[in-house]
Amino acid sequence: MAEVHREKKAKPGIASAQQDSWTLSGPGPSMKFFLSSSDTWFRVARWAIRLAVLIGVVGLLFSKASRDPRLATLPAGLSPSIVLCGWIAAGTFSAIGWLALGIACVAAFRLRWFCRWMCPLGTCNELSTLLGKRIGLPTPSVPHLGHCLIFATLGGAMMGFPILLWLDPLALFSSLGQPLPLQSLPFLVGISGLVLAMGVSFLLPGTWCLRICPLGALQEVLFVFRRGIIRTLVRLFRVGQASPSREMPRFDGPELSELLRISRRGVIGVVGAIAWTYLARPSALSKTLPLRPPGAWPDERRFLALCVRCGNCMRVCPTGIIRPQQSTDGVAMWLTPRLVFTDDFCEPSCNRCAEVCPSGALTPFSKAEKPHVVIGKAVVELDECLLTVDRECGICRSHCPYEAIRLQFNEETYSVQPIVDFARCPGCGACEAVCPTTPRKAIHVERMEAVEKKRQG
Amino acid sequence: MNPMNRRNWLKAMGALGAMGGMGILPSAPAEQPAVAPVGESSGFTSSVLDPHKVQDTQFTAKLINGRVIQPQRELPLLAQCEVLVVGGGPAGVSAAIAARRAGAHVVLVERYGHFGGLWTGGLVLLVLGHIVTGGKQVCMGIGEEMMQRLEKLPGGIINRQPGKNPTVDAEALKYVMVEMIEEAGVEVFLHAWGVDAILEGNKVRGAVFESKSGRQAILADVVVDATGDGDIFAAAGAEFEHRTHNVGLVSRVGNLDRVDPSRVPPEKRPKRLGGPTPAPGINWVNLTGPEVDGLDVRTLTRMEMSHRKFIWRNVQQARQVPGYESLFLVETAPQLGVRITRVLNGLATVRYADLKAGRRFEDVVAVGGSTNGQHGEWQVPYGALVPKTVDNVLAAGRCISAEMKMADLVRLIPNCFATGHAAGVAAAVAVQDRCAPRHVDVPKVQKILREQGAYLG
Repeated sequence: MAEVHREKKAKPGIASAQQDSWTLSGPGPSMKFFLSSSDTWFRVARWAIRLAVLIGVVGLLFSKASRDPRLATLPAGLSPSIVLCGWIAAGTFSAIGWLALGIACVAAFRLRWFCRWMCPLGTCNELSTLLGKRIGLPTPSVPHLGHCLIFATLGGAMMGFPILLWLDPLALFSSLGQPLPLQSLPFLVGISGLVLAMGVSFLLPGTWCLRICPLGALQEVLFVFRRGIIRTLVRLFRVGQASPSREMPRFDGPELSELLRISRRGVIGVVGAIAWTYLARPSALSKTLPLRPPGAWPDERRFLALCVRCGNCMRVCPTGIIRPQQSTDGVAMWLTPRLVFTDDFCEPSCNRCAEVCPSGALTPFSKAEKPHVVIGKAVVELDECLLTVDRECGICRSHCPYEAIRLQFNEETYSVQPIVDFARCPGCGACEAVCPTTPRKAIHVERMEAVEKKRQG
Repeated sequence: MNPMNRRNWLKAMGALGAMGGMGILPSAPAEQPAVAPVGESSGFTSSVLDPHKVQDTQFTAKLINGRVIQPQRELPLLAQCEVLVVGGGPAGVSAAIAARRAGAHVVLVERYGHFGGLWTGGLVLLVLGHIVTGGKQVCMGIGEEMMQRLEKLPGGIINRQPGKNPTVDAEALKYVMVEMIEEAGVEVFLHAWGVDAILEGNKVRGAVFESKSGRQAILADVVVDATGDGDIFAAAGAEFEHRTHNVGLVSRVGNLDRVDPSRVPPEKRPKRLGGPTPAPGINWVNLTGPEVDGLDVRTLTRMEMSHRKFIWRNVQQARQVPGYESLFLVETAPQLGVRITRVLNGLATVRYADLKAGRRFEDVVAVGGSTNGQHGEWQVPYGALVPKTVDNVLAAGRCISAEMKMADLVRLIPNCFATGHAAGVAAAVAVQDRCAPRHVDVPKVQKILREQGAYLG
């Protein structure tokens, strides 16, 4: 068996003789997996399917249908790597996860089947790769980072921190559909992985899909493990049958060496992930953290690791309070969902965001559990509150869906102040949304950490 | 001496009153002017009307076996009319003028000696709640006419700019209301407190009043309950919700124009000295007060006395601040600031969800606004004025059918004159068409309301 991933002489676009055996060898980061058939009709048909899928996904992301919780999970939820990591790290597994596992099973037998037929980012990347090739950019030799990345992510997932899960192509692609005002759309597109991936594919043709993409790498890993294990077993079985002598069965073989090579990258990845989770543990997340959607992991670092920035939660939110984090106070937070209660609040009977989260960053909960799913707690700033200066208000009390606010009359100051019953307040933001004070809201929701800190200090 | 001197005139009037009271004069004293002419000069002497009067105790309450029993008795009829409006606040005055202008014979009864209710007697001088997003004014009609008339009076109103909440002068407004009531030709009884409904089956046929003249009855075809507390519909057995709310007491402070700002230490600047009024140097000062039951006489007494002490203390404290030495308490409001007590459970209910959805009703009879233009207009369906079972009575003002979240908007002055306007016209139409108010021709009501200058969306 030939070298798996490091063939120097690249002849892109030329199908190698071994194409039908679906080996991992052949031209380096090239078009091999894309242009693997010489049959024109076959290629036309595949392009037709890929473009249809691309158009369908874009249409879904930008159509009203994407707000349907049943469909909103789809793009990112179909990624086997997201589903797997979500299951390992957060213990969540949705119905659509079975579809993702189906894709993984097919990929274990048909190498990179998903890339070649389905992946919308792959289609975009290939178009930009072709463009790069057209203007004569050379195909570089890049080590297979993807294997390390996917193992690092899986290893991290076992520690609770699937660090690079957001690199998943379906998550990157889904993030396009985040409901943003038009003026910030260029910003979003600019920092979204789509432009990054297509840019890399253009400048270093083929590199993203074949050398970086963790989902592609996962498919290769599955394929190699499946084939390596089966073939080794088959050989062992045959050896046992063919030579009943006491000769030791042979374990080595091309499949095994391929398997070992990938395993080596796996060890590097896992060790790297473990080192990262330990080194990064006391990271400086001391700033005021944004409010996260209900069901989010209370540990911000774990949430940041689990969140794939797919934007599903933002799309399905009926009140539009989940917005992408755009501030530049930390690259780690870019495009993560944050709650903004300026106009509306988190409906007491809604659990859509957590239902559509593909990665387990939001733990699903039932509608009945909603009153106990804590986003934060409402905190009153008496200096801002209109009631303390006898202006007609008290609107926070009448709008609280959980009856957690009472207006208490203070004999000393002879004024009324809102008192929040923390036992009842899940931080839905209804009070903050209606509070008339500007620019600072006299009542606003704060994260539990901030509330605890205030309580102690 | 003139043969018709003061004594004779009063005697004649007394006899007439007694005859009327005993039902000898069944026809309503419609020819009598709304406000009796002030008697001619008689110097400073007092006149004896009856030198040896002993009141008949046949109907006086008796202590029988330790229980206080009021003997059953027939009540003298004070008046008879087509539309009886109980309560002379913004809602009642609007209702009375609207019904009279729509052609009905109207009697308006008010428990205090002036019109305007909490707007004037309560010194709630700031007109909040008539503008919506963009600054558009939605509460029009008779209330708007009052404000237009105030504009023509010196010191009548300030901040009458589009998108702003104006502040009125209580005395100017009392004057304007007298003027408008007289112009319309509404028959008025002041110092008469509506205490009971007169029932015939499930139909309200009038109301009973207490005054210095004793307990008297007024018969009417339709009664508009603009008492604010729903005293009449409650007595008639209509369904209502009994709520608590903050009860305060407004006051006015003077000499603010003599405050020397250069001497005032910024951190000591008194915060609770209210907002400006048309009178120079005089502020009206709101007081929120504790949340109590505004129907409990002990509570009302406690509130009145306690608030009075605080208001005095507050002004004295402010006077200690350098620059504020000449500040003084002008007055406390004659009426305690009761916000919400009884709220009708009507055929329809004003709901917050409808406000948010911008719902439009086919049977809209009034449109309300927001305190500071922070949301759009909301509509009051006619059913919100109509009790579920009891007939011939309509609610107007703060006691119309509205859920808790809307009560703080419904109770605002402009919304009261809008619902009062609607109730007045609907009552007149019901009388004209000889039908129960619940079967009134709503499009006809809407047409008349629009003709009278009301805004219905």
